[in-house]
Amino acid sequence: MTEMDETSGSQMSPVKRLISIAAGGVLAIFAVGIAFGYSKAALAHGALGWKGVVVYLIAGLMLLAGLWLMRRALAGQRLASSPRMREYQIVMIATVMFGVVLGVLLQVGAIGNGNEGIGVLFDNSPISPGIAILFLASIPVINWLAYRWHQTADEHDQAAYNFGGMLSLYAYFSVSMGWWFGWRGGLLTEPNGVAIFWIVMAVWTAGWVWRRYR
Amino acid sequence: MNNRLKVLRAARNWSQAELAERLDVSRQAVNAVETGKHDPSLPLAFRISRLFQLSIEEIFDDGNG
Repeated sequence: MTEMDETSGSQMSPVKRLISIAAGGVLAIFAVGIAFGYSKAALAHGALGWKGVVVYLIAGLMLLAGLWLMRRALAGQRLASSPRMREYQIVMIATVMFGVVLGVLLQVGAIGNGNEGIGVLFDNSPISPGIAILFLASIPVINWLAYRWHQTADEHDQAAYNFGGMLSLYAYFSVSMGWWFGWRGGLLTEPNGVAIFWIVMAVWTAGWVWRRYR
Repeated sequence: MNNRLKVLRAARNWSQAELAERLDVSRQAVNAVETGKHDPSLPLAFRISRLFQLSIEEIFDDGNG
């Protein structure tokens, strides 16, 4: 049981705050995807109609709900006054903002290419060269943010990150080998590298967050 | 490892966040050290020692002293 931060204006626990920010971001990305997806369909088939108004209304409400979730999670928060922790927090905020913007751009670009939905990040379907270039160009930015994170995170956070990394290595070993042998034995479908990647990322994040906030 | 960090902090009427600012770590790090879930590195132990103007042994106890 962690002690609440007496100086914070928000009474939300750190884990709830993280979940709220993540859920708000995903909701906002979905909302943009719905709006653009419907716009594309409406342009292809002509009239917008009353259904369009309802779809845009739902997408707008989802976007507002997402922004509200993120705003509520960050209410009362202030940047640390110590230089290292301040930069750490700025790097974290920049990473989340970059992730949301990249997610929206990828989804909008994918819809423009006929590959609809959030699936652009979760399946093996073809994407346009433009989206591929956009993602490739983002990799150095992601790596630079990660480098700054490692430079500024404190030892407790680094230990939590390393713990998550160790768990994810075992997850990778277990899932990839298990799936591969299961497939060769005719028990499972062909291993999906993208699914394994996301499983590994999910285990890493879960281990990191648990160790940091337990 | 046992430690007196929470007692020393309370004696100065500091919150975990205030102590974290003084040590240049996160509040979660202070909480983890106080509750024994994270043993601080030597550099952090020295920073804590200097901040409270006590020796490391007066703050931390590995149970073998």
